[in-house]
Amino acid sequence: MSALLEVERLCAELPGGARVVDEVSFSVFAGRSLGLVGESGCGKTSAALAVMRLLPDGAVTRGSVKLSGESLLEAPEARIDELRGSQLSMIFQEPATALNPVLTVGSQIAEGLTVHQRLKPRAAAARAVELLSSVGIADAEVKARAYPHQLSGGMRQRALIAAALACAPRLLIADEPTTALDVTVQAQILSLLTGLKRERGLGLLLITHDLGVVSAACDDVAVMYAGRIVEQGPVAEVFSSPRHPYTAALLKARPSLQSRGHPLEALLGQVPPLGSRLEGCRFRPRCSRALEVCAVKVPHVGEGARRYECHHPVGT
Amino acid sequence: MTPAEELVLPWRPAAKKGRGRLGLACLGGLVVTALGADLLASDLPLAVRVDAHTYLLPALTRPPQLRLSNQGTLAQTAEWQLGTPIPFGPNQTFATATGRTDAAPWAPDREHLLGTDELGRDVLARLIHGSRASLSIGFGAVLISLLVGLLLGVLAGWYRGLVDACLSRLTEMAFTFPTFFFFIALAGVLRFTSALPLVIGMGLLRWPDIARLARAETLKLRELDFVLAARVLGASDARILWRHVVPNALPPVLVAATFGVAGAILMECALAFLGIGVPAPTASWGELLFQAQRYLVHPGAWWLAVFPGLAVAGTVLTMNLVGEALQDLQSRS
Repeated sequence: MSALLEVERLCAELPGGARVVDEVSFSVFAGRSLGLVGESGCGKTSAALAVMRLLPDGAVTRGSVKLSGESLLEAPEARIDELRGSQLSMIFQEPATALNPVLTVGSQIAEGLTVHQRLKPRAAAARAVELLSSVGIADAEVKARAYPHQLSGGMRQRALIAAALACAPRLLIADEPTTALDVTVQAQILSLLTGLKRERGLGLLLITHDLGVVSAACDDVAVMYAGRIVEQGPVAEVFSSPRHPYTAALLKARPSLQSRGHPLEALLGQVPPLGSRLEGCRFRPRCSRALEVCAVKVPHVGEGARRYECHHPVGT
Repeated sequence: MTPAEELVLPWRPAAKKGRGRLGLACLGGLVVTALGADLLASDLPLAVRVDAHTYLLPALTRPPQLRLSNQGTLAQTAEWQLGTPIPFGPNQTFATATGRTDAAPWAPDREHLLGTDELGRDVLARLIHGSRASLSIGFGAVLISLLVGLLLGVLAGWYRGLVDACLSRLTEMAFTFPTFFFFIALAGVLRFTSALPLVIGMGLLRWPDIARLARAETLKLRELDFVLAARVLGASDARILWRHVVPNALPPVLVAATFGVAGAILMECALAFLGIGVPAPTASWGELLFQAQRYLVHPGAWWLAVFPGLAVAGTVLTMNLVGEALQDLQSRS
């Protein structure tokens, strides 16, 4: 099966030279979801924005990003405008700020339809109502005429999903789609996303720092640390037998019902500051299993879907 | 909280709200007065039956048969007439229904509530009709500067870089341009035959405030998620600017525009007071003040200056109240 989105050795430098994404490779398949996890500031969002070609002016990207074989990094701006919304789309963490406060929800959902399918306003508005009800909003007709501040957080996120999916894109990037929501609403949004993935064969790139979200909604997972993907593979494998010490530490730091009453295991130290150049493995200063060789170079272990970057992996 | 603050704080927000409402009501009144000036004060009545003919709204239609009549003469000849509230036109000289013949200016009395000028023209009628010139100059000029300022400010904030540098320098240059003295100099070279050059000139010179605000708002808005979200959906720059940036940049710009209306009205008055303004015989408040200069001290016709002055002050106050209310509304949301 060939990948829907194929990212290879993607590097991104922000204006000013900070390299926030470093040699990142991953694939998203149709009908599957890839979870991109990591701490704040590890480059998850930058990687997604680089794929969408939405990094700020002056940012430099290298490597290759291919959507069904079409290279995105070299495509002209006009082609990217065409692809955005119709082939690949994105939703954001904060549904409150991702909706324009002065436009009705319906007209924002219709935005993509008027841009890509050149629908007349009335047809687009009618389609927006259908889309709203397809993401599980009861009373869609009324809600389409509402302004963002009149909706709850969960409903706003549903509306954003409806807007992102209006033109039936094949790839959806969801940047922390549940972080700003209540736990119960989180579960609803996740099941909406996984449902859409199954029904429409949507490829889903889910960015999150919540391992629970990954295990609930993802088929594959890629763990990012300081701009690099340190380990990736199918969720079940990675979670049951993590190889990279960082993945293992993240999994240990999770609260669980079994360890009630015990303090959570915390990972000592800090993520290296943005753009700092560190030879060898970036995790080395915080790693209890570090060897001398870790300071020199990073190994690439594994083939295909299951890969990690460690000289001294957990479980050896 | 000090006792004084305790006294003040409880009623302050309410008082602010009240002031905003007062401002809006006064603005509404002004606009209605300006639009309906011909129905409020006219030499011809609202309806009249004379010589076996019924005329409806002759004040607006001005039928040629009534060319030589006014509400004073019609009172004698007509079967019946329905007069305007102020039965005098703005340019009707020695207007009187009681047939007085003494020398004008006439002081305020029961017939001319605010008196007349030296040609016997009713001051209240001229004030009512003058509101048209003053308001249309104020709003017209601000409308032009709103368009120019929004366009330049939004473009500067959106594209940044070289575009921003050029537009911002242009804004600064326009900011230092002495509009008032420019008009005085211009009046030395050519004569204004209508208010249009004033409106266009003020509009094209008074946009820097608005451009600066629009630029600042755009700089803020361009980083917001919903702008990013619109780009994710494939919206073009033009579409994002028109649908997402401009509407959200409007509130602070509108506040500035409201104060700008007051400023433009004041400037028109100042220019007219120096004899550079709307050409006679069109009534404008500034022109009324200009005429008042000569009769103020001798024969002491205070009413010529005081009432137009109050009208100007009241209008400026109204616009400031509305602007303050808008500002308040916006800082709360």
